[in-house]
Amino acid sequence: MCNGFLVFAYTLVKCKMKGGVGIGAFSFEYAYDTYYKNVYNYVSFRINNHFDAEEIVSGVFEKAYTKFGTYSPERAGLEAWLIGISKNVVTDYLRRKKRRFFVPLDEIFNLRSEDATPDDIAVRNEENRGLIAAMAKLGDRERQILSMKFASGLKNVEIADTMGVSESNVGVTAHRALKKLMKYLEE
Amino acid sequence: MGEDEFLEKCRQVDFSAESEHKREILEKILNKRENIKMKKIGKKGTLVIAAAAVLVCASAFVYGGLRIFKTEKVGDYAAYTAAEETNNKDTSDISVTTRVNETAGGNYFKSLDDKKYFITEALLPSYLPSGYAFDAIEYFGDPTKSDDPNVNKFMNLHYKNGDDEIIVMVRYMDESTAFEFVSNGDVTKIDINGNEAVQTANKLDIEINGVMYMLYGNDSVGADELVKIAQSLE
Repeated sequence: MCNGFLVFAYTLVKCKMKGGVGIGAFSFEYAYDTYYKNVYNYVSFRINNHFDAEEIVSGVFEKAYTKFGTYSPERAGLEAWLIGISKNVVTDYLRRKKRRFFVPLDEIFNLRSEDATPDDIAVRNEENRGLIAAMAKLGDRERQILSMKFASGLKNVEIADTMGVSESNVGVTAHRALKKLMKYLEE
Repeated sequence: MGEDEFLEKCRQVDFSAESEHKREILEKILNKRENIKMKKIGKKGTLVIAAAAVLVCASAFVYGGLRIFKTEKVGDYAAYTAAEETNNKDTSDISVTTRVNETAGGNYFKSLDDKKYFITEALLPSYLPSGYAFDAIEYFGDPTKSDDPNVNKFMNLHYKNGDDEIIVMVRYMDESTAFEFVSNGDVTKIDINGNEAVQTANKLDIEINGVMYMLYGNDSVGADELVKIAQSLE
């Protein structure tokens, strides 16, 4: 009985330390509100399809809700855990679609911003399309790593843990991929 | 443009502004899980649950001391549920200090002035057990940046006496930080200086002006000391 309390209190404390809040349905809602943007951006960088992105994000959080009881803050921070699920869901999606990363050239990103003028949005849309087109030229692992770096606050060690590679591998790959991306965008 | 600058620029790209169904997705997930739970129960499950409920009620009647799901509320956003009553009042076996010390990942500030980053005015204890002194304030994220308001809703106050530690978790209570705590020990609601508080084994939670102070003791700092610390919050 005492051990059960210890485990529970420990879990509660750990959840809080890693950013989790409370338990039960409230924790999931907090995770959803806090990391929706990060997950959406990660998915978008990987698949660049607005119409499918929401469906994939929905799949990510549905899976997260199912597995929330097994989430262990000792193994990974909440954001890293969600990005890990996102990675697997996107991989499944790409496998199902059986197509490589593509850029829908007729799609226009309409990034809403209270501060942006129509000219700002047009310029940003063009930059983003250029960025996505350049991302498409990278290798799959390079794109996965950069998607995590762009979309989340994960450190290299967390990215390495999510991808099952070494931290130095992530650092080197990210550095090379960034250089390539910058070069593609200059062309 | 340097690599770091380029990386930062890419990090500012936000596709989620395009998302039009964020709330609907959440509701769908929550409703779907509830419907699945209800469907899975079915007729057979309903009979099993009904039988179990009868058995439990009968046991409670026979043994007289079994209470299930006794819930105490503190404020509007916190609930404490005792899953089982215990006669074991000896809390000397219970210690969360070591486990708490093993956690990592927060940002530590060494000055009490840094409580200013908390979302509202937070009280500090004027009483500490002998030998204990302030060590650090811990935030979960960078409280000096305003891009995530939830970071400023949580703050840990660490007080140390050698290797022993008392932690006061300070938590701003609203819908987003609401919680339910389930304990398989006693849950006792008390009043401290006109404020609602709950005692569970070696832990005391007290809400004052919409802020929850969750006091964690250790082997040598028990319930009585936690009450004194809570009484001294000012």
